[in-house]
Amino acid sequence: MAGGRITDHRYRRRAAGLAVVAVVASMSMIAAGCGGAAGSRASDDIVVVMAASSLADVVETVFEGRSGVTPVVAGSSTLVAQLAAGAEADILITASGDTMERAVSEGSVRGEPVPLAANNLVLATPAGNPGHVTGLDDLTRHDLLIGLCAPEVPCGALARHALDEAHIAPSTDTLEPNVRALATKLSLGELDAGLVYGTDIARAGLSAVDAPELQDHSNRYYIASVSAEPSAAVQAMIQDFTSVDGIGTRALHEYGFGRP
Amino acid sequence: MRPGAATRPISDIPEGPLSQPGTPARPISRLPAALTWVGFVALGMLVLPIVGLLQRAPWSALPSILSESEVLEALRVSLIVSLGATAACIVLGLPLALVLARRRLRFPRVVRAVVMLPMVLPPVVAGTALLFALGRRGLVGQWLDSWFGVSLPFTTAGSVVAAAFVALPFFVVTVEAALRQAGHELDEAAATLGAGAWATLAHVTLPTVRPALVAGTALAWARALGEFGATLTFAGNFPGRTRTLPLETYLALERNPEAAVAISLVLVAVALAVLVTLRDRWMPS
Amino acid sequence: MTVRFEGRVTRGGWTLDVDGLDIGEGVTAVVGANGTGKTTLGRAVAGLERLERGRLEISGNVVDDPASGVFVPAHLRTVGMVFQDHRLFGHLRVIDNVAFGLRRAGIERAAARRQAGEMLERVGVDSETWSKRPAALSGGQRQRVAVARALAPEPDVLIVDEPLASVDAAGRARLRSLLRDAPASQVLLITHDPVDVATLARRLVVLDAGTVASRGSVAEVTASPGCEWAATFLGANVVPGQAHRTSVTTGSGLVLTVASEADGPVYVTFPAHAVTLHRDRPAGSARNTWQAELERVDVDGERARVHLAGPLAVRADITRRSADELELRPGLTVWASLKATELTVVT
Repeated sequence: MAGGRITDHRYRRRAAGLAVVAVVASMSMIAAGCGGAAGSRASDDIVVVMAASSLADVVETVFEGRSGVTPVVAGSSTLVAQLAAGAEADILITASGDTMERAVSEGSVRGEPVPLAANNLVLATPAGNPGHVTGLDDLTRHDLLIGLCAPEVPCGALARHALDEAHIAPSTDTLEPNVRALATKLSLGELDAGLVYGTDIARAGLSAVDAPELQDHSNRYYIASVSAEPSAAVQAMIQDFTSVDGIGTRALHEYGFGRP
Repeated sequence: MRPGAATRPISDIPEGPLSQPGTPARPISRLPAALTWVGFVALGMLVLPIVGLLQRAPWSALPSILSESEVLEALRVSLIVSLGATAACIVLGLPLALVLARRRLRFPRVVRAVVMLPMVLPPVVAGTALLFALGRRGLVGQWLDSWFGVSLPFTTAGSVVAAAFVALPFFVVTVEAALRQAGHELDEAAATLGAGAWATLAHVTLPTVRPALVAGTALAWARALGEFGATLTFAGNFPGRTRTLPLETYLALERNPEAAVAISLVLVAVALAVLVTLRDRWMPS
Repeated sequence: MTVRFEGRVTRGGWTLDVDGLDIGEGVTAVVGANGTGKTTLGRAVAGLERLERGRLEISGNVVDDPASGVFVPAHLRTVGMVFQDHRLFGHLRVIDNVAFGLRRAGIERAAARRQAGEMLERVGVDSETWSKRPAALSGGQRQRVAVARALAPEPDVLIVDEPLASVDAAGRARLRSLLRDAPASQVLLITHDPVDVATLARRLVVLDAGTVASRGSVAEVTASPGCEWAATFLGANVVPGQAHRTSVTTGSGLVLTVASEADGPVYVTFPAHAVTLHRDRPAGSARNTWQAELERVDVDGERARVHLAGPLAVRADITRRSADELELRPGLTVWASLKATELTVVT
């Protein structure tokens, strides 16, 4: 009897151990899958560039086929959080001054931030402008389906600010949680007009309507070296994006970004 | 027999369901111990995130957050949308389940797979697909728009359609399985007793699968209540019209994470209350 | 008021092809080996199967005639059915199961329940059971409820599929008498049980491989069973008697010794080939031996069926050669004997 009991206990302990090992293993795999990509450097020769997700196309154009560079693309606030958590990178490009400021104040970025591009707010319609939108005032028309970004996200905050300044109360039908979703609905013709970034016009195949009220409302992009003493390669790469005819500057222009 | 000869007058026999027979004694477990452990680990995986939510909940600020007009409005939209979608699931899903279970179909496997597709489709894709079909420029939507002046996107009705689309398979699959298991033997017996097709459905087929009807309705409702991606993509997001609690939560996450936690708690509490009540009252455990 | 059936039905790979069958008043037993189409015949009459071709008439009305596109669905036929597997409605109480058909006929609830109660009393289901669910009943009780449910709407035709298979001894006698006096004018009794045939049937239909092998009164069909299976089945002797332990006293006073114990009224059945015939009193065991008058000998191929009168009216199957050797002829007195182990006691 006693022997049977002991075996039973041993068996139970082993079974429990197995289960725990299985769970821990699967959880660590999940963790690796989620966070592992964030700028861990393979060697010192490779430059890691963290860029805001709206720059995905630009980054691809500039770095395609180039060795010695690892681009990491994610939302600006995600990138800043990853840097604060100890991810290693050489260059940070954010889609707003706020996020860059946070990276600097947290000590993650020690180089001097430089504005490299601006993304202007644009009054957009589906290709061909089926709703015959002629200006920002038309956002008040009730016969049109109007979309904006939700004020919680940068493009929405920008839009709200611009409309407030122009004293326009839009007859909004939807507040999209991100600018890509808004641009998609415009391109499908489900919305007649909306405020998106200039870069979305070409990307989503939209028509832009002239709106002078939006002139000064844009999102600024900043680039900075993570280290206070950047290597020559890092400096050159920043130059690519800040000099007037740098390969990065040209690519930014090509995708619809404005000058800072 | 003389009336009243029975020990109990017929009129005394109640109409409702009988009380459940007593719970039988628990049998000696034949489960391998390791399996039991893994089962509890799985339960832990389900409970842990909820505990995380509870632990981060801003309990003292809860009343003020939840009484904000946006939250109450989102709750109202959520209830309208989820209940509307559930009603649509029953009205459309019951005939579909009956057809799947009772009719000889030409390609039964294909048809069943199609019915289950919304379960595996990423909700955002489901929403986009709905736009392609029912949007103002969509396959069918353009005719709805030009003939009837009906446009579903950016309306509460659109939210209902999106939620019903993703919730429908849950109802259909549950009810169809029960109908298959029940078989058509009782329907035949009803026919020989003079019950036509509708009477058989009402008095025999549906009462026989009642637990599955309740379970399917509860599942569909829960799915519709938590629906996010398809609703957002198809119907957009506007307070009081299409902004449901999940959308409110998502946006609150950008603005004030504490509020997001508080709103999620409302969702969890409402869902838990309904599911527990249903289980106790209607589903044989 | 008859059922006229002519035509073909296919169900699950089996085909029933009937060349014209009239089912008259009273109980008609449908017998045949498994898979010969007995249940299919019943289902076609009830309207649960469609004829492929042919014609089905019930009480002068055409209810199925594919050529002219007539098909009266089951619920509009005045045919009731007792299924082999009962098929009681699990969500309804016993009383509401029985009231179901009455309710569908438009009778309001209280009256329907009252009539259902009367029917349940007739089949011997006591009122304590009425508010239970079918799941709480024994097999025998379920069967009785199923019979009551089918009879309650007073169908013209009642189809009963293997009715007595799962009924306990007390219930069997009661059900038999109920079926004999069933309010339905015609009862189609699908059965495997020789006692059912002997005690209930006025007419017989023998099905063999999907066709009618023989039909007519019980005597006519017994004389000309039409197939080997039916010959054996109908050759079975059924003798009523009063059992006390292993002795059964038959009507004439002859006592049969059986292998199993029983008490009260029983039927003793044994196949025709279990009866042995002798010219002289057999030596040895005196049990189950009696003197009988030879009434008639039917010779069919190598088999001779001997009809005996006397204390027991039974049939004995012997080979034609034995019949020749014994020089059997009508009027002769012979000795008959039976082994106790060949006898089956049916309560």
